[in-house]
Amino acid sequence: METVTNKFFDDEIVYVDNNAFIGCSFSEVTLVYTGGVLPEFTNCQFDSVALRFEDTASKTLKFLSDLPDLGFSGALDDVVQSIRAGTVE
Amino acid sequence: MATFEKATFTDQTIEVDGNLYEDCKFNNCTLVYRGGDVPQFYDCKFKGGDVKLEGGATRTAEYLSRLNRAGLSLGVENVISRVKGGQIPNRMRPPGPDAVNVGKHYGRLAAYIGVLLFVAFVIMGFFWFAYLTNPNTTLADSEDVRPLSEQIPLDIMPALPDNLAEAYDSIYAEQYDQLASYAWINQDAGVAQIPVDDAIALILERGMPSPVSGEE
Repeated sequence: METVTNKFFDDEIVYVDNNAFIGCSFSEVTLVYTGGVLPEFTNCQFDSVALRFEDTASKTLKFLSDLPDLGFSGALDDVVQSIRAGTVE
Repeated sequence: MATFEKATFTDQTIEVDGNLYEDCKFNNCTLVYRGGDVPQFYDCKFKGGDVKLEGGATRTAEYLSRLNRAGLSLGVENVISRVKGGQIPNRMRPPGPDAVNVGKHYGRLAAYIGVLLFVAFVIMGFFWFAYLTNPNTTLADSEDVRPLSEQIPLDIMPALPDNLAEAYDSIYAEQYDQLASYAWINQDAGVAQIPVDDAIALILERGMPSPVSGEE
């Protein structure tokens, strides 16, 4: 994992997979996650940040969005709850 | 991609990535998704069961959780809202005061101003070149011998005094008479004025006269 320390990202697209961001600032930035090695954010500042998902991450969100139509609204709620609570397993 | 038609699954754990299920029944099954191609279900019936994320799918959920903890809860909730609404999130911007974020692209602004100034100078240079190569004809050079009062429609120039043209014509006539008449300028010094046509003829005949004593 690559470590990025005290860097100011401004008006750019940042692929975050496999990066550890420490003390970084993100302004007018699009964070892109493809579903790879999880990034880490430590003491980072965010201002006007957009989120974009590609590849595995995008497919996962599509799968999750299909769950209510399959009758698994409860399963989706459980995933959402774990995201909010920080208890994703 | 595997295709299943009219199959019945009971009490099984099924990895569904990339599979196509048509008219299948799932009884108390756990569907496992790992982040591969999204499975498709047509006319399937589910009784009980659960969904489990693994691999890249779990990482995506954990990524959202980390963003939430890092302070991007607005963006994460936006994604959740889109997912629950059956929409595929692709690129979203969380609401906030960024709409009034101005004054960041000074370099671009300077470039635009530079281009505008360059265009303005080019246009000014064009007009200046046109003026040098083809200046407008002035009234003094005009061959129009009509009185100025006849050349200028006074009704479209209300700001000018009414007798301006008449005054100009009067001065012009006085100066013209002066150029075409004989008179003393300084009789004691022997300096006189003569009509300009006569003066030209004399100069051509006798050459340039010597300066009068006491005058340059």
